[in-house]
Amino acid sequence: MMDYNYMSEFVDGVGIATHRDKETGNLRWGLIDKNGSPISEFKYNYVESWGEGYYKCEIGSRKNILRKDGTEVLKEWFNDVFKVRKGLFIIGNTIRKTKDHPTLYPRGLASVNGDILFPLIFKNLSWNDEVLLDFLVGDIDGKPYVITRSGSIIDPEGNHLPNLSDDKDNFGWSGPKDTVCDGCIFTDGINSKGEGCRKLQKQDFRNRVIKGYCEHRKYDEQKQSAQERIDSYKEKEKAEKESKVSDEYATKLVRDFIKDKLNGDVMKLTEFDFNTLRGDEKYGNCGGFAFCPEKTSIMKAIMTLTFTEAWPEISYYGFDHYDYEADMVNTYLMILGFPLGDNFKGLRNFRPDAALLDRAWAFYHLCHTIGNYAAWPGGLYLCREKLRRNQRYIDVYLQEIHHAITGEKKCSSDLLQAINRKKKVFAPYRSDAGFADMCRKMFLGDYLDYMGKPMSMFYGVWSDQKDLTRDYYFKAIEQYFSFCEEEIVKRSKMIAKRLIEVLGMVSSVAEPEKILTIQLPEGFEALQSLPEDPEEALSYCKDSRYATCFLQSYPIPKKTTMPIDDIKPIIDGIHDSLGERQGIIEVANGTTRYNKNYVYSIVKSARVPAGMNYILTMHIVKGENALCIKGQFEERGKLGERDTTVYEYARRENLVKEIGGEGWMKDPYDENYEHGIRMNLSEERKYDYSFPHHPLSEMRKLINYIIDNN
Amino acid sequence: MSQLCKEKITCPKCQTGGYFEFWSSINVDLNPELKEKIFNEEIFIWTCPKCGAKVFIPFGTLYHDMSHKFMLFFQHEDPEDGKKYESFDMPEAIGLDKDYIFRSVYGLMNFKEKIMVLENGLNDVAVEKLKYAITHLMDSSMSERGDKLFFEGITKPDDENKYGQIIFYRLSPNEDECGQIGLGMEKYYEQCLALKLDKRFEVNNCACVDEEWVSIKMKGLE
Repeated sequence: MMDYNYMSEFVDGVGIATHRDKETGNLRWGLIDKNGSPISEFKYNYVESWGEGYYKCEIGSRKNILRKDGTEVLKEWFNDVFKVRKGLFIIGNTIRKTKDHPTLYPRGLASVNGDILFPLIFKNLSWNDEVLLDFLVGDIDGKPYVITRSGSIIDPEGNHLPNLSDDKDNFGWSGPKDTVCDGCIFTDGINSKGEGCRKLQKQDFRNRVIKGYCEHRKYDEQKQSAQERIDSYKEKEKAEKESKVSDEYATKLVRDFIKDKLNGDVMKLTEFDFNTLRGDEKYGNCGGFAFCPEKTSIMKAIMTLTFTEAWPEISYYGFDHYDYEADMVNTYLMILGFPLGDNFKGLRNFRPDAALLDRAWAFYHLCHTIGNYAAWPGGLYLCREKLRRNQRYIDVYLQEIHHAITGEKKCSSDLLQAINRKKKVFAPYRSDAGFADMCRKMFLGDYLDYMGKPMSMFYGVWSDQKDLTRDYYFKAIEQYFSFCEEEIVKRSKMIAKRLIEVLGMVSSVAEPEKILTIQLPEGFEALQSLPEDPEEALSYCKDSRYATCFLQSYPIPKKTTMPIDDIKPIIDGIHDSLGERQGIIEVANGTTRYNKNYVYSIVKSARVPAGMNYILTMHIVKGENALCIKGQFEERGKLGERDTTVYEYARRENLVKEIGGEGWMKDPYDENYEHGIRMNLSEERKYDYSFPHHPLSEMRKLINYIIDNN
Repeated sequence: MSQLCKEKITCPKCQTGGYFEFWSSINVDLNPELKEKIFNEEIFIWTCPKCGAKVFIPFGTLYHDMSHKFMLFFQHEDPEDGKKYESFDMPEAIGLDKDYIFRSVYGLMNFKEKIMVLENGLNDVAVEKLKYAITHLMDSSMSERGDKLFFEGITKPDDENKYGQIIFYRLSPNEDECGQIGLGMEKYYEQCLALKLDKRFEVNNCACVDEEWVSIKMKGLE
């Protein structure tokens, strides 16, 4: 006799049992009699009682019906076999969706004698009444049919019957009594042929009479029908979706939050601990998930409004549908462990003193302030959780993201897949410059080096790491805490300011003058700021074939700008200050595409022993704000190629004299100015096209880009 | 046209030799009298000219009804090669309408039944399905006993049955007649509708359509 792991109760002398195959180790199900002898083969993954003395059996995803004697009813197996009723059972398959159709669930009808009375031709098929089980109702292409227990099929409209009279209608309406229309307020619109009611047209009306269910049925004018309830729910959902897609919802929620929780002061957001929102229905609602600050409604709203520059398609609706998710930037879990009582599970093993413990708790709370959260496209959070523990620190995590985006090095395959799934979202960032741009827009610029690449910044320890010494652990804590305590606060302020901008609010703290930002063309890579740089300066560089370009922008007081409206004083001022090896190339002013006033000067300066530098000074003014852009573009590679080529051309064309070179050099604004190294013919704009990588050409391209895109 | 053949035959009783005339094909439009001889089975009987013994000769034939547009390939016994339900294509050169019905029929009672069904303009597949439904679903004890149903005829519409009735006679396994079953023609039309929706029962060539064929289709045994 077989060994059984499980035996069910016996019904009519038949029981269900499981047996583990000694060779394969697989658990198999089958039927047995009261003596324990197998009635069926033990080859099924699952068997259960399925009505009227029959059993459902499964192999893989396919199912069949077993008789009491262990024989299988159907020759063909299906994805679904439903309960046996009156000797019949509904069968079904699942057809996966393709680009041409959604997932389909066709249904058919079979009998316990093994006949498939109807193959899978019905979209829906069900018993008319779960108790009476008189007949089944199925539909094919939207048309309902009645299927009798003897395997007949009837068109309720009688179109399968021959016409006996001129009247082609065989519907046979005899009044609302004993139909779904009985008592409904819309029956007063039904005529003697049942061609519709006050609510429905003929076809819809008749379909519902046949099915025995009508979602429009109403007994009372004041109460909503099922359809009306559905419609009003859908209207509400639609309105909510529109407001969530359009930022209206997020904006309102954040405004309410500022009023209710921050006393109207946005800057208090920098200290707000989002962990305290547990239990808050309005702001702490996590949409069915366990409480987690990242998933709260207010977090989603703030992320939506803050990071629109980084993710232009971001919306509250996107958060609800997992297109975006909020995540902690710097995590406390790895270095401290879970909070446990008045300590942390990891930290307590190293016997911290009271001061460190206090600092750890302060850090824990700091981690739950807004400065420690960022919005990412959906899917990345899970990938971070799968990384090795030292990789979950933000510095290494950003490196992994950088590798995945640029393809520079091998990275986590999960992360790569997650990023590739969001191709469109990451498209603008698929380069070193793009990655740096993305980080800056996420206020993560401090994690990048001067080349815009993510730096290794932390010790990367975790509290239950093997062989971790106390000293090393505390050093890691000190370094990590010190950085984060400053960085998170700084980031909080940046987010608060962004919210002020977006919401058009006024901050309680006197704001420094708003900084103008400027769009630069592709190719300029961001550099790390140096201590000696002007305040809030942004530095960039670009290397082309024949030029090394360095650029810096920083805000300046408006009163210190060059005269915007009149370039003559500028020209005169430059003339007066030029050195022996310098010359003026160009001074111009105007208005950018988006109505910012600008003025700039280009001065050339000869290098020793050879080569030319071109120096740009550009001031851009909008309202009370001004930005200074300084550029130094150096000639490299084949020095003097532009000059010599154009000179040769000019000489042949008699634009310059053969001897003495008269006509080659002149000051562009004063013929009589003879000081320094004046502008030569080759430096005119018309030759930029022929020497696109020359530093002067690069500089003019940059100026044109700034004017056209700002 | 009907084709008459002669075969030499010896009387099993008196050993007298003789000739038996049999029809390899029967066109009932040109020779309507042959139809009656099929139904009274006279067409299969040879009478010995000497001793008068009557011998039943089970020959096969091709039955052609031009006005009702059907052709039946008849044999008395099922084929020995087991290919009873294998259908075959009719050659196009035969030059008949596309709505012609071609059937293989085995057994004399089935032959007579098929002629009656098709002469009445009924869909023989629907009739077989209906018979199957009666014996296997409406009253499964009939199939368990081995009872068979044969089409007898249809009645005209009346007050009780506004579409008329379809009548079957029931034969027990030992071939004693057991009575009649009459159903409203609505049942027949329901089977016709089922055939429109269920493509398993489509017959595009010459096939043997009987109750067993229906069972094979229902159980997916082909």
